[in-house]
Amino acid sequence: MFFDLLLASEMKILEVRNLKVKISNTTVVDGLDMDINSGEIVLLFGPNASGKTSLAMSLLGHPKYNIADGKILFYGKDITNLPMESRVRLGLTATFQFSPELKGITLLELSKALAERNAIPAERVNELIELLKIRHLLNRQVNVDFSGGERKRAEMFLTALQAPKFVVFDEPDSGVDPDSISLIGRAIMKMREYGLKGALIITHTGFLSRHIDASRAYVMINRKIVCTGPANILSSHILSYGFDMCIAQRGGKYALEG
Amino acid sequence: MPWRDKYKEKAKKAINKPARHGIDIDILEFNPRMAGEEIDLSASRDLLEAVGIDVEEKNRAGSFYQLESQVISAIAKQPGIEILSMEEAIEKYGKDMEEYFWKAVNVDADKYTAIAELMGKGGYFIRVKKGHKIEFPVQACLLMEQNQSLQAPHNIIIAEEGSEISIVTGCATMKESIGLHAGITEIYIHEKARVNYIMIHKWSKAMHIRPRTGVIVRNGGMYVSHYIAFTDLKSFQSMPKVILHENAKVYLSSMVVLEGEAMADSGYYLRLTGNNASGQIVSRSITKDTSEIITRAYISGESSSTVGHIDCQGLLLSEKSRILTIPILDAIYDNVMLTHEAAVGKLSEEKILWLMARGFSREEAESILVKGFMRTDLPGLPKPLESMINQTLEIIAKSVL
Repeated sequence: MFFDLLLASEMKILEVRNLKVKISNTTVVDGLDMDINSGEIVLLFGPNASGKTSLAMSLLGHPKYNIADGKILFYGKDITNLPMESRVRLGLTATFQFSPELKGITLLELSKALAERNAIPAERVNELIELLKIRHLLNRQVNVDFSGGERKRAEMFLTALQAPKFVVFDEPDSGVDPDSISLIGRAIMKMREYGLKGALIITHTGFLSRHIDASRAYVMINRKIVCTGPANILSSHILSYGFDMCIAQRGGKYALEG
Repeated sequence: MPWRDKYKEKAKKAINKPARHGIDIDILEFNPRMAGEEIDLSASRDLLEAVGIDVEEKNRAGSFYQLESQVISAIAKQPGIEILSMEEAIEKYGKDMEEYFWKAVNVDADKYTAIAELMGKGGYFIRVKKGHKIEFPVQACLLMEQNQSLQAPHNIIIAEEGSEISIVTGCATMKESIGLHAGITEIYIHEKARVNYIMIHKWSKAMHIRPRTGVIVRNGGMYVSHYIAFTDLKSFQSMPKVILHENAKVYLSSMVVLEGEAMADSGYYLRLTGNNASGQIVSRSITKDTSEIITRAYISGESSSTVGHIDCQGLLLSEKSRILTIPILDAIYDNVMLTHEAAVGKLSEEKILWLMARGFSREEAESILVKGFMRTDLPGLPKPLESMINQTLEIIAKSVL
């Protein structure tokens, strides 16, 4: 099993084939394909309600999202029917668009529990605390009265302590001040230093792309991927022209694929 | 004792008077019992520790033990405190006791106060003398173990002007038994005195519990009360009545975890009668199995610049349990500030999933959330007491799931 994973590391970290996802009877992802290679950070753009969060939660294995068709492969292993707990154990996780308040539990307690279970050395914990500027939050209850940026930074901190292999970051830059965006970007790069093998970053604005070294980007509109291309080109097009161009070129790859 | 006759007379008239809340029970089924011949408290060390009682009495300013209706010991270990059994106190102080006798609780409030006066035995009398600040807590332990037993002690705590004391009362059944516990507790806090009162209960499933508590806090005094019950029981009903004079403050908290078929009706009744009096009622209820709890909280602002707040939260850990919360705010003066917040529900699935996404198992995630739910502020408690309470809550949190 371990050997299989080792071999697989030479392969794609994530492959999504013709993925169709439903919540009750509503289709929220409709025939989506995506590939992410080991070592790659990939952006996912798209307007509101295009299905980005649904994709993130389906990759994580959130029980509310039912996979109606298609396949998800993680390091070549079919995880389509694996429950969330098993996926997280394999090293795949996601951050949430809105991380919840946990009354009565301090950030310090939660981070200690994670660092202990994942054998994260104290100096690395400290480095992350400094990098994300969250020391003042440690003795406070998780997310209670945190600002938007503090919430995202706290979640980034805890996620880093999981030592994951692959993370879907769901809008880590939304509702966040510019300083926090740069800290979050640096934290993602730091996670890569510590063994993060790949990431899919969902973003509205692309501001985060200035702080991270993303290779490619996808655009998701109306429950499907409509175009893909190099991250820098695609994000500057979207920042200048919005999603219209992608819609016009729906299904095509335009001139973006370098 | 002729001075007591009038209380006995009043009690007789109330012997059939049901309580305002809670299921009605036939009190005549229960009778006071004496302790058995062999008393070995160290054999029940774990149980006693769970209700805050240190058998070795280290770091305690005094101890009181009562088994069934028999007082086993009442010993003060520090100057400035007096600890007697109620019988000894009445013997010693005679008619002078009247100043503190059935003044914070009405003897004819209901059949439980009545039976305590008519048939109850024992109870502690704890007096802290003027200006004495007692560092270590006094512990009081009330135990039951026999069937059809009535335990109805009358407790009186007096904190004289400027004094400070913490009292830990642990009550438990030592073995499965059918019984009625109706302890009367009257607490008198004089000018600028402070009492921290911690009561921890652990009962067995055929017990009826009807404590009756009244507290009067005089000018500038402070009362902090934590009630913790982790228990199965037949029925529980209690609503301590707390009256605050000018500039007095209270913090009244309860943490009740019910299991089995337990039925509880638990609350606080707080009257802010003096200018600038302020108080908070904080309750946390957890229900398992088919247990049910009604949580009541009442605050009346009856004087200028009084401030009161109710924070009432319930967590259902089973499909068939029930939590009903009834907060009441009564402003009868124009510049009072009374507020409440309440929330009842099961553990949030989104929170569980978020924690699972962070790598915790479902069970671990639930346990983290329950622990967080149970954590309330312990304002200004002496360190040893704070850690004792946290330890108790930790034990409870572990065994809840």
